[in-house]
Amino acid sequence: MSRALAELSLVDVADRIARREVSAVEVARNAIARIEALEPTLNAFISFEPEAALADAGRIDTAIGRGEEVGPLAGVPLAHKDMYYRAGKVTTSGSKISRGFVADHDSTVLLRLRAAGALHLGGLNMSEFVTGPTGHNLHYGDCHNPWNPDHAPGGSSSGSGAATAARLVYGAMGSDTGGSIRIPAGMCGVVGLKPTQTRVTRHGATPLCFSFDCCGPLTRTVRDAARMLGVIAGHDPLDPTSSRRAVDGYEAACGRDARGLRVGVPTGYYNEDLDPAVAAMMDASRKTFTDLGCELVEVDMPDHDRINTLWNVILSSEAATIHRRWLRDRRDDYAPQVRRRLEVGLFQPATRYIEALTLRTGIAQAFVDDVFGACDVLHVPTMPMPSPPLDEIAVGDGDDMPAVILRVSGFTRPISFLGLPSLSLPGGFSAAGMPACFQLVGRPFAEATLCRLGDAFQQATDWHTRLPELADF
Amino acid sequence: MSNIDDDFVRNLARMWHGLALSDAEAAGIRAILAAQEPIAEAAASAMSFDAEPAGFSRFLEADDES
Repeated sequence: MSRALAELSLVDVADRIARREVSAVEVARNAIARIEALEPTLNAFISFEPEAALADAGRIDTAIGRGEEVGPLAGVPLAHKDMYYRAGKVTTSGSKISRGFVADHDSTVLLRLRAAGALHLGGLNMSEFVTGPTGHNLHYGDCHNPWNPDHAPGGSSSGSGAATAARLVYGAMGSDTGGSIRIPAGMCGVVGLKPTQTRVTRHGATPLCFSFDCCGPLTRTVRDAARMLGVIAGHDPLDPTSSRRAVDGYEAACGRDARGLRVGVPTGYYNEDLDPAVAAMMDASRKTFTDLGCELVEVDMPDHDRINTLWNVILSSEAATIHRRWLRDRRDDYAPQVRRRLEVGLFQPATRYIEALTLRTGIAQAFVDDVFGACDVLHVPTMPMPSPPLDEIAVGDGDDMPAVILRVSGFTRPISFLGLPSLSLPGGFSAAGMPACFQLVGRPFAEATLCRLGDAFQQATDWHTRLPELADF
Repeated sequence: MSNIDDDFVRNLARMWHGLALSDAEAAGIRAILAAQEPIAEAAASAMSFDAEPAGFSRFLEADDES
């Protein structure tokens, strides 16, 4: 096993494979060995497909050896949240109900990654039916945080965060409805990119909420996320909601000077009840932005109680619509917390739901006008605290469940409601050794600006290079 | 304040959705709805007569960083 090989970024390993400095088979074997070593501790995978990945790696090496053109992810071992369909294969969505579900078509995102040459090592652990920000799973076992296996990895893309942080894979697809990319990225200390609402196709991905669901990558570096986004972004006729806008040069934006960018520092909401480690991380990262030549600008935040409430009206209404038949016929096959959160939607009046959808436009327009009239990028914490112990937030469907869920996801939900792109990246660690992370939020389709500033931050700091002790081999 | 109570939740579950909720389940759902209602009702008072949900797609596409 090679730690040095595992520590390469996605971009570095892809470029070395393309230059024949290392073979795709060697890289795949190394990833497989690491997964076999750490899976008993992390429980990051629901399905594991080493043979197929090795066969694909062999084909990549043969193609490169013949001098054929290969894609920007050729030979790179990836694995994805187990909610992306592949024709003829099981997609569990982390659920008991879909344990045997075999899709009859492929997700567009996975087809695009495969066309770019990426290897697929398996389906990753996740919260049941994309519901839950902690990383618990009653059916497949809890996923564990590589920085401390007693702590939560975050959810719902729990395996995507854990596998990427432990250097089992070089990147992973997650999905985000209220923080499900950014929260596990934040708890596991990796990069998570939630694109603008319509930037990436959702065809063939398990739905939770039509209005908020976003597909996006978790990686170790911003440049890695930029490369993956460049592969998966763009209009898909099979998802008519996907934008027809041209795809920007996200990777080209990395390496650009961040000087002159105005970074928004919020007053009020995003400063409330911060853990001291998160508050210190926010101050330190703002100092780094200043050193990079950015201008810090104070910006006022609107009423977030209203935003969080309307988010929950829309989420529960749409999720209950998707699950109503199973909630009636297979009620006991849901974990109690998941069932409770879905069932609330059965009691939302249609008028309340349509009001919330309608109000979204005015609230988002005012937010963009007010906030991004004053700054280019908004800088807010991903969560108010570092990853807590798994058992501390194992609240099931108890009375304190809504408050605990809101405590974890209260800084990410509003950005989903607003439909804006957000990049979460690590900016420090707590005294207990758990990552602390922040989000860079932009106006619609400003992913390239987020990549520009995020990459500049990572060039000036080394938080993203820290390796969990259990993965140090 | 919300007038939603446990019986309302239990009855609606039975009559609309064919679900038999336990007392604890009805109380848990009622608590979430009761906390939501005053905030959602106040927000709705700001809705203009001719607004509609498709405006959000137009908002996203119309915005331009430059």
